[in-house]
Amino acid sequence: MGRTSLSILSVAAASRRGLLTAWIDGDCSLDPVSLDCAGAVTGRILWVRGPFSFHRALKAAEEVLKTGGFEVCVVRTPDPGAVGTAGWVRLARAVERTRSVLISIEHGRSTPIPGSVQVNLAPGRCRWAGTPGVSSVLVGADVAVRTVHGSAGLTLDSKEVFCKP
Amino acid sequence: MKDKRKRDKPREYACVLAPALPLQALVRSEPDLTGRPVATLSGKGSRAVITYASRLALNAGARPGMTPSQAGSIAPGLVLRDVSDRVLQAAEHTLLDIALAWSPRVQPSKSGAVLLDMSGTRRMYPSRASMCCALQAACAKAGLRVRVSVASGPRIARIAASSGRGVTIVPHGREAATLSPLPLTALSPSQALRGTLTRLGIRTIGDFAALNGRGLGIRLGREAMDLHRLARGRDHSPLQPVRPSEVFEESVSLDYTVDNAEPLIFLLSSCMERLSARLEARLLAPASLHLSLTLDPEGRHEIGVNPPAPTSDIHSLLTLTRLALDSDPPPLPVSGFTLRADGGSVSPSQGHLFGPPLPEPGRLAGLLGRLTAIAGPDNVGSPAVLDSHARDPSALARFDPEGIPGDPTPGTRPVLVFRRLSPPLGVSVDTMALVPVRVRGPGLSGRVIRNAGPWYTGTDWWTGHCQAGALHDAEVAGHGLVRLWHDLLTDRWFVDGLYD
Repeated sequence: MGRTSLSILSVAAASRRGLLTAWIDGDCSLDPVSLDCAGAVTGRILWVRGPFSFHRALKAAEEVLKTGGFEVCVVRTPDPGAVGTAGWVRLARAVERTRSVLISIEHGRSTPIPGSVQVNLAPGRCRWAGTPGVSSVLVGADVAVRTVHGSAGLTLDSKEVFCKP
Repeated sequence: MKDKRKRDKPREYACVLAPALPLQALVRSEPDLTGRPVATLSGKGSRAVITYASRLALNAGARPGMTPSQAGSIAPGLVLRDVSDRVLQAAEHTLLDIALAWSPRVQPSKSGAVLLDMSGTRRMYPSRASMCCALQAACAKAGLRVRVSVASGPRIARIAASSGRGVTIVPHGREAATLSPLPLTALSPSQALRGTLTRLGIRTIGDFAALNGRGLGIRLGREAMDLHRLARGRDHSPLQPVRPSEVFEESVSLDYTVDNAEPLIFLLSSCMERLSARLEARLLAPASLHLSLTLDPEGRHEIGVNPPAPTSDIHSLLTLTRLALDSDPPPLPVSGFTLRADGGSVSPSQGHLFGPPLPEPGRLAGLLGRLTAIAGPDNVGSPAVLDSHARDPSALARFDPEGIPGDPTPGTRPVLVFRRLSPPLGVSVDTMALVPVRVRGPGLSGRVIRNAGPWYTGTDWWTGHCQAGALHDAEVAGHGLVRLWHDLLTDRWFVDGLYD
């Protein structure tokens, strides 16, 4: 929990500053209503909607990065592990030559890439208001965030964040 | 005084002439004929004769006027082809499109020539010769070899282009001297007048110009008077400009059939390059493509390709065409095709002075084309939220970012957003007093710890695509927060997505 929230917040912040962002949505999971609620300027977000394989997502991300002018590029695919380290390194090299930030959303442990930062998110307690079984309202959820150096595996920061729906 | 200056201002006209245009049009439409002895035919059956022959065909012995059997016996490897009207028209339009990039006043002339009014364009190039060379280069890029001339009158320019090689500049005041050594036939006199003048021993334009003009009209008629003035370098004939055509079309007709996509894509690539060059000459790019395939033995198959933005990126256009062909393949072998493009201007928008930099519009259009080729049509754009109570009120809008400065307000608080499952996961749900207590489904089963809802929604009953259901936010043990949708029309439960 928290991966999509973090990515959407990054994209929303960049779009509000007038920057272009791209969302390579390999598993067709992006919810534009959530983007809107997060305060994103949707007209500045390029949405490449899937479903398609990770290799295609990688190619789409490379095209976006090669063109330049996109501050944040988010890649989400159904099976990111299928590409192996070589694909990630290739994508990392493509990012190095630009001023863009690439966010890859993965489930589980990701491949350590030199120069990358891993943000590990773990779900915490869900908070509710009202009486159980009678009338309940979701208030939010706690998310534990741990930032790890990509290749060294050192924990850089760790904190708990409360997210409201 | 002002009127006099205007009258005295020298007129300048250019003529772009593509010699043997039908032959060039044929080779242009079928690039694999380059380097082979080729001749074009006119007439059908036993009346067919060679009209134009390439240099290699001439070297092999083929001559215009020969019948196919005569030419075949002399030059066994000779390729003989009919040139379809569409192929010829495409070449003529190409010439016109290129001419329109140089001057807004152009007039198509017969035999593959286009006349241009070059008045007022002197400062565009260092010299007229360099302008002519640029025109030649543009035509060569579009697959046409042309001669270019510049003169004070359109007819003199036409004659100079027909008789010259490469680039011919007729200096102002030297028109008569330039035309003088040319044969009389360069003036294109009528058969009767040519016969009369030949009997009088007049062979060149110079001989004709030397005749006394007085009484020429009474003796030889109005045509002789007009041509006599032309022979003396006086050409005041007006140009009749045409309205530029908005139809961009290229055709290929094959004498064999194609029954799979690969050779068709190969033929389409060169066709698209030519079409793109034509559009580029008019500062446009293909906004949509319409491919009309001629089937063998009969019938047509139509395919449309719509890139997300006008783009000249041939690779993207080809990939989109391939996708369209894969999804809607022709039922019979293909014996030719016509590719028509609608021109669209590449967005001229410029970023705001104080705004963040945006990608260059051409590059952005190319990117959109390439991404569409990767993700498929209708899958590239901007996310948009519809004003609707539908289950998924989202849509894909055209990506057209504005270069305005952003809002420098700090970021918002952390929010819990929704991640959709595509397609929604069908589950079975145990309920107690309309409240879900347990969810069972592939990969998502567990007890519902707490639930918020139901929130009833119904929409689109007026369109016939009615949606009616109840939404629940449920915390499922071991799976976190999910959104459940209870379809009231079918009484089925779905997991629409997760809070992530």
